[in-house]
Amino acid sequence: MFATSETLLILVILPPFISFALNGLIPDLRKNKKTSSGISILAIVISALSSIALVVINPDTDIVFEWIPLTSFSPIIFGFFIDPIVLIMFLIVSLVSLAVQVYSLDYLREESPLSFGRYYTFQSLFAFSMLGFVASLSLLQIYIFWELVGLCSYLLIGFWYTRPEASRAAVKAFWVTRFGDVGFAIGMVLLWGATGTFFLPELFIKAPEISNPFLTLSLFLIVLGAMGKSAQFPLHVWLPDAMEGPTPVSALIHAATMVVAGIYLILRLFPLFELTLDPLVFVMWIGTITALLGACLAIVQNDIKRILAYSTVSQLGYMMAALGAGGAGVAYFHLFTHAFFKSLLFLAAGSLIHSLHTSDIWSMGKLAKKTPQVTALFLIGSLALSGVFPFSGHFSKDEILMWMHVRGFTLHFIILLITAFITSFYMFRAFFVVFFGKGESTSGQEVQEVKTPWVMTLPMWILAVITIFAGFQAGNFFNFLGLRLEEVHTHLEYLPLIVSILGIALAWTFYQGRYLSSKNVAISLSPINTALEKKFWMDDVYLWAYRYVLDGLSIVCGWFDRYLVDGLVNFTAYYTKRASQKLRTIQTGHAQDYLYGIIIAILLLFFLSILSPYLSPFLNEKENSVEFSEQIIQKGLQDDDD
Amino acid sequence: MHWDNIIFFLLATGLVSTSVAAVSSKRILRSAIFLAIALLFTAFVYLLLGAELLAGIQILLYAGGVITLIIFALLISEKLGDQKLVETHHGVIPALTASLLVLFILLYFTWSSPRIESLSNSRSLSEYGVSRTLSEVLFSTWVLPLEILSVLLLAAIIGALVLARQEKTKGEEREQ
Amino acid sequence: MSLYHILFLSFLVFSIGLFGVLSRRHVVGILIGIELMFNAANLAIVGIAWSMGVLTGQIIALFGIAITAAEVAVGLALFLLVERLTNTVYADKIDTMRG
Repeated sequence: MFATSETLLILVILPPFISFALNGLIPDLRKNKKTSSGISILAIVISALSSIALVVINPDTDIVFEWIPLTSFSPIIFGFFIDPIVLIMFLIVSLVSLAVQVYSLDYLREESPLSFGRYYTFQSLFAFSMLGFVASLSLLQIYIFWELVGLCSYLLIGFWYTRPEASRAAVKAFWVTRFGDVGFAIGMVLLWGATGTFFLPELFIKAPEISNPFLTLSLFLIVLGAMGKSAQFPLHVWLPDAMEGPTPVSALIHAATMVVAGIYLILRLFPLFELTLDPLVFVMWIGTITALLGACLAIVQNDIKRILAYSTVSQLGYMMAALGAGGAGVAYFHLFTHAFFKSLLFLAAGSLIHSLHTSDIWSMGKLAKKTPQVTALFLIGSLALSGVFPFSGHFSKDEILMWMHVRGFTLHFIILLITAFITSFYMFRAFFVVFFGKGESTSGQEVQEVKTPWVMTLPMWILAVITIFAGFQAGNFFNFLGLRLEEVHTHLEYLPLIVSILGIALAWTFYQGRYLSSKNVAISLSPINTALEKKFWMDDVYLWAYRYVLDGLSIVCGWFDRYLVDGLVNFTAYYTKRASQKLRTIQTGHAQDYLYGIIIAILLLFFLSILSPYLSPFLNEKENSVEFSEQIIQKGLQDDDD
Repeated sequence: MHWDNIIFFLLATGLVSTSVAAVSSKRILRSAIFLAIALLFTAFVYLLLGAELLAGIQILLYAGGVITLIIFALLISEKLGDQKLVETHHGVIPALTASLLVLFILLYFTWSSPRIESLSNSRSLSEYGVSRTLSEVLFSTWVLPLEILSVLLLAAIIGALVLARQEKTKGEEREQ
Repeated sequence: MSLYHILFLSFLVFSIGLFGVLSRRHVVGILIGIELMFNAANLAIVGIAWSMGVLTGQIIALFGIAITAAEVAVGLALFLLVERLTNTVYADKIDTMRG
């Protein structure tokens, strides 16, 4: 039993890595569409099946090994372990990866075999890194996998690297998340400095001994890393731009898995966060602000992927807020449901973009009749995201809101409630415009046919089924985590649902019924509208900071380097040169003169050895050198005689 | 006075005088010959010390091979370079001072060392220096250094060949 | 005949060789001085080994002689080469390495 669960753990993590290694190292496999995708999908299927098997068994096991084992010093311990939290993440990552990889078969059909193979190689690397990240037992190992998923994100955002926007977005994502990662790295090292270990179980045991301000500081820094990765205000700016990557990548990495890494990190380190509450309060505020901000920004977007990206930012804010309020379980449940319905939404949007070659919602329109299947799928996703009753999003969002309400965070509760209203409004704005709109901007062109082969629809339907039924499993979910689902009955119980439906109704009034004109409202609220369209000038602030602050710093550093550092070097070099100019005259070039040098050295040694008995008080030397060498000879001869 | 003492002093006198002649002769060819004779004297001292094999090798390799090489090189140089082999000294006084200083240092350490004193009256010379024993030790205990030495000699031969060949091509270029 | 005598003889020859190395102008003259010094060192080694009654000294001397042979071969080849290149046989005229 014990052995099988360890084997299964290896079977979850290792196959994607093997697939990555095979595709990465053997060009012949990578250059063939069938082999590259086949290997990758086979690997993720093994991972998914093993994950499901592990969830069924629900074992408690780990694989631990020491890196650089030492006796005197606590070694760096690496290892993978399983607990219910890890298992659920395994399930999310492997299932969504599988769905996305199958979906990509058709989505990337037009790519050349080489870039197709590259895509699947990166996908395998990502799956491995994410699975490894989730099951990591040591903070250092978490950091390594954390950077690996960041690397995959960078590589996949910039998948169409010949497009300047894509490569710029990739670099932006890399820089912004790296900014947070610096905090994470420093925080991690601070924790190590205080406890002398990266190993999580040991860290949790030793953590109460750390002085409170120090622990708070380290955790703040770690939260900074989580904010970068999970696109929290003010480090959220990279996520909308990351939509330049292929849509399946957005579904997998920038909706379901990688962006929740920050949430997961805080969740993992929750025993530490419980020791000092300041970082959690900070997390709660950040999460609440991000939720509202993301939702507001989503209203004015015209690009379907960007709408979804801002909605991801907003939903991640929900999770952060719940985490900050101490609701690790409810945050995790929302993470779980969100992973499925958001990747479903992305894949549905992707199938439209794939067929129509545009992502502008105004140039879509009238798609409901052409593709009822995608319409149904998108509707399921939108309803789930808006939090309408039978769908999973309703349950998880409800849990978060109720948690806030019951714990007495009324201000946050109200903000999140408003956010829920805006969420359903912008989602159905997109839904009505895309599927029932007129298709105004298409300059006379009739909207093209939407092709939906089964490799695309099957993964979406699987995700849709999970979206529909996952919500009812909330009780089982919390049992599995070893938590109890709190049954809350207050007079506010139905408020979130009512708010959501109101949001849908408002969207209908604006965009379907057209009783109100969105343009008139936009004009009457023009300052807000401008602010939203400019994304609250966040990008401009960053650009300014990048351009002036960083450049200014560079100029100062450059001056320092050029005049002080180089000056010192040149000064040393100049005097070395002058000294050697003088010393070179000693070199006569005559072989015999060098021999005189040797003789002078012998003479000096001779005087030293004669004088050493008298010099010994000054030289602080106990042994008379002549006697000492005699002793050595004596000893050598004794050895010789033996 | 024992007879081998007499022989030793005769040999020592011969060795020192030929050495002096070798370093002070005006003709370089002549000093090479003196070197050969000095090496022969050394070989006889070896014999006196019971090292017959070493004496033989000294005569064969040193007095035979090395001196032949030197004389050969001198003759080639004289023939090709068309230079008289008249040898002069330079800086005699500092050279003499330095040599005497080194001699003094060596003697000082020898005579002040209790170790050498204990050596000088320690052991007798029974069965010492028999060629057979020497060969057996040479080809058992010392076989690895011996083999390495053979490689060194090979390297020296090749090195000398390469240097000589380069010299020849350079000479040809100059002729053209 | 004692070790002292042999060592004294060896040192004397060594110093004479050193004098030759230091004062000779001809390259081969220097080489002859070096040979004398080598020879003196060998003599000292054999003498010490003789007074200790061990064979090791003789073997070291043997190796020394072989190494000397190699050195002389290379040294003379160098001598011929240098003579070709600089057109002189006198060491004090060769100073291309002067600083």
